[in-house]
Amino acid sequence: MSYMKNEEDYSRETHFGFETVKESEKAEKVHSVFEVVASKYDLMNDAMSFGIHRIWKDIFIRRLGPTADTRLLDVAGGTGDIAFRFLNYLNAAENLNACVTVCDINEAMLDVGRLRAKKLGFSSEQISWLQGDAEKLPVNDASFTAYTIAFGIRNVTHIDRVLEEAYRVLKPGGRFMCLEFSQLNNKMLQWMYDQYSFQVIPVMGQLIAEQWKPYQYLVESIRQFPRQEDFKSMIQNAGFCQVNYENLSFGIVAIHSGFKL
Amino acid sequence: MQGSSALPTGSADTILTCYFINFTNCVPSYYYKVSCLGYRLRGLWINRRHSSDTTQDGSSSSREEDGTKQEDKIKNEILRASLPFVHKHGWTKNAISEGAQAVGYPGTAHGLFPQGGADLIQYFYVTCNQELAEALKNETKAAAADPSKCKQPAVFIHDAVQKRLCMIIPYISKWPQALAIMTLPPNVPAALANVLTLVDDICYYAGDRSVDFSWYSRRVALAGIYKMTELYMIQDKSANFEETWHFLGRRIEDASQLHNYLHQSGEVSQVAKEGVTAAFITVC
Repeated sequence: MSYMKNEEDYSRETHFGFETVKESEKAEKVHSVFEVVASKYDLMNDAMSFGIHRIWKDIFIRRLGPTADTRLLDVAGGTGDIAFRFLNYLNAAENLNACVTVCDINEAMLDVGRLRAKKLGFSSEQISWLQGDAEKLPVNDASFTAYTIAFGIRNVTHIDRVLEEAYRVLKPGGRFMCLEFSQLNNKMLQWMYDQYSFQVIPVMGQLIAEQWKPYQYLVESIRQFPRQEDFKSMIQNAGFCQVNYENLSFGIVAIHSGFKL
Repeated sequence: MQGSSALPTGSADTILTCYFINFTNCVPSYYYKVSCLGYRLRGLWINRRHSSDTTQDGSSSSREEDGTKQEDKIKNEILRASLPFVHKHGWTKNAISEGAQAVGYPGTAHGLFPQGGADLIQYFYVTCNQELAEALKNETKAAAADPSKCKQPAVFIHDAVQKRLCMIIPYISKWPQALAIMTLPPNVPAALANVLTLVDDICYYAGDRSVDFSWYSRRVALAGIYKMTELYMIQDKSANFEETWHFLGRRIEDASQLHNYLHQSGEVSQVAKEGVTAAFITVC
């Protein structure tokens, strides 16, 4: 893995949706996508998934099953969806001292999160907001017991580096969990899903958020993301043990999980 | 017809054994089904034996990757540490969380065990089975060296079942919960394999070396007795579970009487069929 880091080659190409772009440009492009959609991000999520993304995230946190000692780093969690669920889960179990760190590369998304946290009545001690790149986290080694990334890893330039960083910041016994769009196993369902994705979602984006391109990118980037099994081996390659995944809604999304042992 | 001449030579034959001796000729389809199941489980047993033997020889290390071994070691360490928390939390993932924390891992390490409580019960069951097998092995060895220590098969079986049930006593208040969890459909195969492994060990060390159908009937009968006694035990309020041991003694006596009766009676097949069915239902 390390040779990739050493051989930083800016002329190398990667994908941005179905477009092929220079690696150095991708981050910037993704950044601008999320900057323009930040304010309507949660509304659009509800509209596009008919609210089902809430259930996916609830299941995600339930699978993590946080305990009183859990130190969670939620990466790419700008608007706080996972962080709030984490805190609510622990509050329900009467662990009121729970705290979580949210890290996102995009300041605009973090602003939305801060605003929502205030509205929902979470104090600033409970959630720390951190601006940082998932490929180069501004946190110490072995400082968290759980790492979550929900609908974020698809947008990074180097998935392997993100996984290595996750491995680095976790304590032994810590758990990596990823919620991400994945591939359906059924051709018929895939066809219906494709129709919906390419014909409906960008239109919805135009009507609700007045943006076509970001939602075009969204559905394209989902197709570019590795399949369940491939992503599983990537996680294993980063050093994680006990890697497995669970499909939700026929594989529209999948929860991948691994442990640092 | 197979008669007593077909009996295998093991010392356990005198009791508890092959009272379904004639029934292979009469219910072929049932026999087939049971023997298929038995064959698969037997395969499992043989593999297990084989692997434990090679471990003792120290030659198994090359077969498994070190990584998986390390993982299993950590998982077993966590489960072992979780057992003391069963009194407080029952057979749940909360107990595993506390156990993980007790050995220095984060509470979320319960995610290593997707079945939660069932994994903990499974660990406990398998560990107890291994412990019993080890004890029985030593006992047989001692008996071989010193014939005066040699027990009657009925006594041997009684003592073995009692020893195994005694291992549950520390968790008796939470054991009904464990039984209930293991009856849930996803856990039934594991539960069945566990109890059949247990009775196989007991029969084997009691001296059973049969290779005919009595191999199955004997184990099924003992499994029935074990599960009945276990169910009796969780409701037993007597001091030191005296009543349970009496109950166990009576069941073993019943089994030997039944054996004698069936042996003499001509209507073996029908009774045997019902007997096996009933025993299987009890075991499951």
